Parts: sequence; structure tokens; C-alpha cells
Amino acid sequence: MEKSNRIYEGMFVLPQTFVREDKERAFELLTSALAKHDAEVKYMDIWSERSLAYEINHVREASYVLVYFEAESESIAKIERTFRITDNILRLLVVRPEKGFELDTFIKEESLKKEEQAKLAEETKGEEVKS
Amino acid sequence: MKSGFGKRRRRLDPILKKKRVAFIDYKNVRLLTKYITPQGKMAGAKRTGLCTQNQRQLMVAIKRARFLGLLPYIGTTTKD
Repeated sequence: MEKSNRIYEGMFVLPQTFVREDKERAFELLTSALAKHDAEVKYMDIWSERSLAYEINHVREASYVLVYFEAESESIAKIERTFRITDNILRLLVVRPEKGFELDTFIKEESLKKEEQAKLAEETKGEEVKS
Repeated sequence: MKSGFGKRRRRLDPILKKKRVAFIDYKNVRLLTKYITPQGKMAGAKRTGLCTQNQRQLMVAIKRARFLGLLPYIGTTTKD
């Protein structure tokens, strides 16, 4: 039978302290669990770090990790269950991206943005040294 | 002309065109905050001026954002 793989968008809310400590470990936690359910991670990055609008499990500061992965529709429930019982994951949301969303263009745009940011950071660094 | 709710014909909110947003996303917190009161309630369609489809998108987006802790369920209750 043909597999019905789809792209999903996952947003994971992790305590900021946990991610700051070891970013790789936090990413590993997500990828390993996703891989267990035959989900292929296409994109993963920290989307933002911010203070929560309300306290979740006595945590106030959180890191948001945005993941795009390809998985079978049937395994989504299993993935969600796995993450619910995983420590250090405050919240998770798995949704199908909106119509018209294209992952490739998204990844391209994001990498462009990052390059620009890196450039800006370097420029400001140079100015600091000058002054 | 002063904006009010009155009996005026519904004015369409041009956010989607003006801001060049393809759809109302839960990740677009800055946009969403415009449609909630300081208490954290969502604005009704009458106030937002959105069409039904967009208002529904907005509702879903706000609820998702709330769940993730991006937006408050209950905001600050200020007395003026």
C-alpha cells in the first residue's frame, strides 16, 4: 500500500534554561523521538525565545522550536503521545501547514534571513571595535 | 469621519492585503495582539471588520497562540 506521507508543522515549547544549557541535546530530544516514529525532519530551528504569557509548570521563560517534518498521518497521534510524556516539553502543537505553504521556499527565505542577520551582526561588531 | 460601529456598512479590514500576509498565522503574534483586548479577549467580527473566513482563521490562530503561551488567556485587568 502506498504511504500517505505529509508535511507537518510542529511547534515545541521548551524551558529556556533547558535549551540554553545545551541546544544540541534539546534538538536531539526532538529528533530522536520523531525518528522513532519514522518521521523525517526537514527543518528545525529555534523560532523564538520569549517570556510566556502565563506560567506553565512554574516556567516563565521558554524557547520555541519550530519543526517541519514529513510523517504518515497515522503516526501523528503516536508522536503527540510520546512528546506529552517527555520531560522538558511544556507544550506541543502539530498542525498541517496552511494551503499554499511551500517548505522549500520557506527554508530558502529563512536561510536568506539568517545570512542577513549574520551580516548585520558582523557589521555591528566591526563598528564596536572601531569605536 | 469618525469610526464607529453604528449602522454603517461593514468596512473591510485590509490587513491581509496591506500587510501582505497570506493567512493569519498563530506565529504572527504581533498581528494577533491587535485583535485582542487588554483583557485578552478576542475582538468580534464587528470590531475587526474581517470577513467570515478570515475571522475564523483569526479565531483558530488566537486559540493556538494561547495554548502555546504566546498570548494570555486572561490579560491584565486594568481599570481606567
